[in-house]
Amino acid sequence: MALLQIAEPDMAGNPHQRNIAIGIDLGTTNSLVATVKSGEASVLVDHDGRKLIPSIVHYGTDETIVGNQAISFRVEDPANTIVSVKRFMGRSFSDLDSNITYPYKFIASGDSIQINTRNGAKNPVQISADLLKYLREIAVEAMGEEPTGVVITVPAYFDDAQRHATKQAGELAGLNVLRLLNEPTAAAIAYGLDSKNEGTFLVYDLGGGTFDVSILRLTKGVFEVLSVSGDTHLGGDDFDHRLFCHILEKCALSQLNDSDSTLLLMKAKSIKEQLTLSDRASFNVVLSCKKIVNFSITRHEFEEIMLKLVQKTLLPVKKALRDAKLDKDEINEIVMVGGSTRMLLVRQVIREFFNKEPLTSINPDEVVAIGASIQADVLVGNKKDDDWLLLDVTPLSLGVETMGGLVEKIIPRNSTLPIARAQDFTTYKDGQTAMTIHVLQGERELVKDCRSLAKFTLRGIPPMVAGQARIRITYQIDADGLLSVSAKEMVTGVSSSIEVKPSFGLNDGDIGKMLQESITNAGIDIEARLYQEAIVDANAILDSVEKALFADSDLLEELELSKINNSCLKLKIAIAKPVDNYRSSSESLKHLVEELNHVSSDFANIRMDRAINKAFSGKKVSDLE
Amino acid sequence: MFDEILNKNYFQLFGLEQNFVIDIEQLQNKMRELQNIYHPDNFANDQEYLNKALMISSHINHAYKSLQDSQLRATYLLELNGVEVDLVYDTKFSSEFLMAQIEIRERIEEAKDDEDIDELENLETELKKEKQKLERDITDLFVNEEFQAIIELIKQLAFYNKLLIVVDDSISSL
Repeated sequence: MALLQIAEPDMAGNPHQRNIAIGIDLGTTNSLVATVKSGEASVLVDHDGRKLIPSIVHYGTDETIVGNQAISFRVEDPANTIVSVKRFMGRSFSDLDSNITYPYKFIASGDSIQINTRNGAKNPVQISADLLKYLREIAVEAMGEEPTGVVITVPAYFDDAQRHATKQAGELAGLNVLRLLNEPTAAAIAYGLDSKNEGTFLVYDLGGGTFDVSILRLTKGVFEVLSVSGDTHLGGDDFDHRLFCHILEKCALSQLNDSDSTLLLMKAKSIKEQLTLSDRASFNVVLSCKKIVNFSITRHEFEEIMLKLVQKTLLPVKKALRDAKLDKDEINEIVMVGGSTRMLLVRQVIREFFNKEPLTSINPDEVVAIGASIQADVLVGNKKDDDWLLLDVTPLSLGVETMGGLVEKIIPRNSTLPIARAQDFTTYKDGQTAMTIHVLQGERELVKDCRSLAKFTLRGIPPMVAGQARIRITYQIDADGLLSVSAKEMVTGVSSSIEVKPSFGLNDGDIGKMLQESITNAGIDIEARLYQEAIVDANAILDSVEKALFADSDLLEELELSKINNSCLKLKIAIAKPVDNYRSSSESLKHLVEELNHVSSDFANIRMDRAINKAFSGKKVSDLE
Repeated sequence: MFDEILNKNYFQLFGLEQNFVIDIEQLQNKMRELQNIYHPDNFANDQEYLNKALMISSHINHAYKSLQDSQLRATYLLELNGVEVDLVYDTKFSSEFLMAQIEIRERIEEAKDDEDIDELENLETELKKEKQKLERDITDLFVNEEFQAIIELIKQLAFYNKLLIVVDDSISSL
């Protein structure tokens, strides 16, 4: 820590001093910190000369230990050694996967996750901040002074809550966070600027558990992200698991205990890695039941087993191409990111699909940190003549809840950032003075299927007839992908605004699931939407008929009155009925609305006459003109 | 300098003639040129201008999107001529047009059920052709300033854009 004091303020006055910028790849398993020195980007190393810093934070009795030194505490003191904290960022307690057992003592405190350690309760932002502080120390030791500005990378599919949490962690660590950068975008920058090529890049990012695809275009100094896509349940772990299952089958093993399963899974992973270099790999192990397992496999056999899984990655690739409105031969370069792209089969499948050799010259573990450091160097103002600009997109649509539990999309996914959109809404009840704004993120049509980001209330709307107030809601997403929302009543100017800083968010799995469901459920969604609209219509006509009855039921004959009442009752029952089939429920609602319309049409005419008579009574014709 | 941007109409902003037919390449180049000046990343260390830049940069992105897409461009051009297009409440269509729409929807559903990607891709090509034809008709109508007729075609264009998304999602889901 003493080294932190090297950077005295008076040293900053040196005119030849460059601003120091660092890029941080804050990963789930490992993190890296990189910087640009004399025009060359490089990854910095820790005390032991290692570039990959395990994302592990150990809260010890005397001090907090981070990175490689903390590895051994995973076994010795798991409850105080936090691994892969990135999975908890921007997530609520209820988001925790109940199928996974963690060695931590979680504290339920409202919505946010807290872990009880010997140094007190820590939330994911604090733990990430401790990790970031350590990365900052590595930078300070290497550079001899504090960094001026920092760029931190996040997965392209991180939602608003996860981005906010990441930025907060950076600030808590005492870093000047200039920008959050999407990981695939960072990789494209690393290659794009390296090759000095203009053109269209596809970034293929296959990590341990997730898969991201981004398409970017570099033209005249502007890097434009055209589309992002992915599968949040596909990665190296799936390859390991597939091979593990193959081993069980081949060696006729069943009902293994946990430690044997873990052992074989590690062996499977190691075989996968060996096969990137050799044509054959094998292992011998003795299981806890004393059974000896001999396993050997050629690369050819291995690739036959894996082919289907690898080909699955082509689906998000095709989706990204469609979203960007490009053919595959319009892609100039394919950038490979993530440890799993070391698999020769992955490279081969990509090579065959694009009929082009993918770029692999930069280490796939380091490419994201390197890109982040180059972007940081531009943002602190070091790169004056060779400047470029980055235009990123938002990965998920943003919307607001409307009547009937529907989501009105305001900013569609893949919109270029920054972006601001406004939309007008109105009151639906006479004299309504408050309105709740419910902000949602996701692709589906119903509120319950999207992620709730925030809810706030606009008060003090002057009482008006339903539909007369005009409430303008403005969504602003900045270049980091962070959202703020404001609402204003246009007639009176009453306004309300918040920066959306939710304590929870979506996890990668949720997002993948939501995207997939939005495609497969598109049909059901439309029917559900039509049903909700039918409910809204039905409630509206019920409301107006009941109001009319309350005011003027004396105009009706008993028979007519009972007909109308009867029809209202039937409609109410239909509204309350649980739904089996959206389509048939919508149809019966529509039918009953028509019926109510029909039986009450005479009543409406008589009321109209009464109203006109009232208006005219006691007035001369000349007054009316 | 900032307010000047907000006061220009979108065509002026990108140095284009106020016309339905535009030079997309010039639109792109000018957008990049403007973002190079006004994007908030240029003001990362300058709190004073950061918010202003955010607003301007968002405005440029919105203006770009509004001209890049033919349906939005036609709508905006009508607006500049004082004609409002209401896609939500104006739902009158000729029965011929509606029948054609229903037929296309049925073909999409069928192809989806049969997992017939070729048929879906054929449909996509057909829809794109229809869309181009509508765009040509809109071009002619703008020359003659037949605004009411243009509204009808914009409504139809919206249908085709929606169908193209449905086809696209169907292909992606197979």
